[in-house]
Amino acid sequence: MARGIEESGISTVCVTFRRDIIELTRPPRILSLKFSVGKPLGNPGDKTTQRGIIEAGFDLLQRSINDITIVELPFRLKKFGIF
Amino acid sequence: MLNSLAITKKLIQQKYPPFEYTVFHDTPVTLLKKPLSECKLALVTTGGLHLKTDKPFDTKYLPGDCSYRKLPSDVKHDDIMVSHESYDHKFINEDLNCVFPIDRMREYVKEGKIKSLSEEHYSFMGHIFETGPLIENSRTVGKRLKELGVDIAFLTPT
Repeated sequence: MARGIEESGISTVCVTFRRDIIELTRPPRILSLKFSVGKPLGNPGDKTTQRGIIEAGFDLLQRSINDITIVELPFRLKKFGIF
Repeated sequence: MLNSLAITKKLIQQKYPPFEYTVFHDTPVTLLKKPLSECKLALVTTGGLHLKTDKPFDTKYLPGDCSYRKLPSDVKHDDIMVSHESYDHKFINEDLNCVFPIDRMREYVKEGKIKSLSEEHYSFMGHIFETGPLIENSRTVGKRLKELGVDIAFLTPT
């Protein structure tokens, strides 16, 4: 997905919780999280985590790196109901 | 012991032979050419989101529906539904921003962190086994976003 958009002249940043798979497709900027399917940006209503992830993406976008870059983010899920 | 990728691959191959992951050995890079505060941003998700008034994704087609849906910039949570069946919708039903952080991005525009949001955002399905059309469609979306003057695409999975 990022490949086609990046080739169009648009900078991309990808959020993932499957680093093992995304490494195969090699998009340029990756934010890797230990989150689970259905909530890649964290629990509902957790604005702090959502903003933390997005701002990590903004930071990555402003770096001039011409190859794949993976940032492991330290966010962890707090318990939210049954999951 | 098999790692998680090997286990996933084995399970998928049992269900959809002869599935192979799409692998690329290069990385196309477009460097940001201006400050973040001057950039226009679009969201692109593989969460299978679409407007309630739009055609749902085809979840019965085993190779995976590679089509995409447009989401307008002023979209509201109540306008959206999810036809992706491979994840629990309870989180996104409570907070759209778990998958599609449109409210957070609107905040960044107000704060001046980014200049503006695209008039159009895009949604694809995940769980795609035949990725050829998906790559072509991502190029089509990329070209459209470029026409709209978008500088950044923020991609989220499910």
